[in-house]
Amino acid sequence: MEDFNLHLTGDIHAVGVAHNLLSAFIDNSLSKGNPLDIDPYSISWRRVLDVSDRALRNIVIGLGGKADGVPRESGFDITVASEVMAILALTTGLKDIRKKLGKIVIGLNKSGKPVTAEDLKAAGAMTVLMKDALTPTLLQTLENTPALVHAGPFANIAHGNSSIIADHIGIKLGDFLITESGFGADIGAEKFMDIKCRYSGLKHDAVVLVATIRALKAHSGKFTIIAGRPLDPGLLQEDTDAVTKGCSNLVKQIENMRYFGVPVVVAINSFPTDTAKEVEIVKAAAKEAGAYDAVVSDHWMWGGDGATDLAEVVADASNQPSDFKFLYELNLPVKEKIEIIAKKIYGAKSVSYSPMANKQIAKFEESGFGDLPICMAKTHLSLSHNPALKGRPEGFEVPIREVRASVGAGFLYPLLGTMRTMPGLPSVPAGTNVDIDEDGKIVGLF
Amino acid sequence: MSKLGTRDVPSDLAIAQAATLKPIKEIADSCGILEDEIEYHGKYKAKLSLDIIERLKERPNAKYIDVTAITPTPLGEGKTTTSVGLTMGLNKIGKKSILAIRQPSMGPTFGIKGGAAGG
Repeated sequence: MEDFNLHLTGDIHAVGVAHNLLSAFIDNSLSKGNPLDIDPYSISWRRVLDVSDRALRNIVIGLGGKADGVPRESGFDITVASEVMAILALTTGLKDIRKKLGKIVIGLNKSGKPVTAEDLKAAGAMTVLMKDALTPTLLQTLENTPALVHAGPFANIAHGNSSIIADHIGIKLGDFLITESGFGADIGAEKFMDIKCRYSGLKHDAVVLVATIRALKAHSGKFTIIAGRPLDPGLLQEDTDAVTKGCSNLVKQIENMRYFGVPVVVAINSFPTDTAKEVEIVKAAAKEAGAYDAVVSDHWMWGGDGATDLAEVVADASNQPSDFKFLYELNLPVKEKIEIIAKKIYGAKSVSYSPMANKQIAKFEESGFGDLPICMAKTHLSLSHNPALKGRPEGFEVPIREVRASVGAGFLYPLLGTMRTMPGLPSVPAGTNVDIDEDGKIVGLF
Repeated sequence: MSKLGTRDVPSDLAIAQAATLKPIKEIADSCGILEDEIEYHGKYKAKLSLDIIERLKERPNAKYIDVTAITPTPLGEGKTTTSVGLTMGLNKIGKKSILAIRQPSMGPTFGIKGGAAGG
């Protein structure tokens, strides 16, 4: 686990160096007479670092004098927020990643035309830096089960799924390949199906929707959960009313997954405080909403032995007939694609666009990027854009503030709120507990 | 039925450090990966060549399962834990199963507890 959470085999470093090489090429081009006529104010390509450091969010670069570059505002994102990471996750091989890296748009020239990594002649060197990162890392679980670990893109401004390459390998190595999508089904799984499966050509045979009684209680609106604060004692006691009410979220997420035509199994990830009555409510709600089945699983305590019931049901579900379909076709207008996701998956009444978003959408369609899939950058804490709305919100209007493009990775990403791409540290960072003991063993890493 | 009982739960790090790992070569062998397709990073980590895809292209695909969740709370609902548990559970019932997951960023590892893997 130390390896998994630390450097592993260096893929994230490779992403960082490839990304920052392009940044350096951009600023070098500006300072060497700006032959591509880049508009410095249009540059959206920042720098990256795999450390949470809020002081680097907004910085001025190029200070010093003429020999030190052209001064301009920029900033750092965390490395996993890099488009290069999204590209690593969505590429199918070496030639493909070369093409995708070349398509990265870093900003516009002074006539408003996109400037790419290819234009800066950076894509070849970036590919070389990424060559070793292209191969997935094989690890094992506590029970010596093979685990492929590869790529870690954000789930809001990117699609939040592990790599296509690892899946292309893993799907040939056994009877089952299990993968995971970030955040809730409205975000990670929607992107798994509409973005990752579209690019990989693979189709899944079943979805496992994880639910906890604790979260369902919170979806009743009766309790607030804040990370780092003690839990409301009410969450640790039987509360069938809260569970019943909170199941509205489960029901909607099951409906969402069923739009794609593949069987859904609900896994109740058990806690010692769950009661039999509460579990029955969840199972009944899940089946009524069309889930293939709902199963309690206590793998957290017993490992694989705690998940055999779930495994049996998932194996059965994956043999059911399914009829996978995407939620939208790529050739629809950008706004129509956004509205299909907002209305069908989030349950929105309507979508509104800021003047900036309207301008950007028109520009992307004019530049030939209109046919890309949509990667919504939305809070994961609500089905809506407002993290305070729990359960199954209705009647809301989704505001699109801005629309950006990851042309290399191959998606447009509308922003439904402020998305933080460089985290900060809390008042007592977890790293303050990390050390080595007398024997040189790591302590304090969770 | 749930097998919940009382059991002291050690920290994730203590569990991981107490595990008996097999050399990664054995894990790769168990999946039918050839020696030429492995690049070792020490004894317990290996990178896998993309040549595997071409070599096994005629082999039928494994069943492909995506693990997702209801709208989570800030504490998370255990998708990764369930993905790992399900993969091991399938192996327990005799289905050869492989897990494919994301690599976590190091930022949260040193930031917010539970922000990285194992939280």
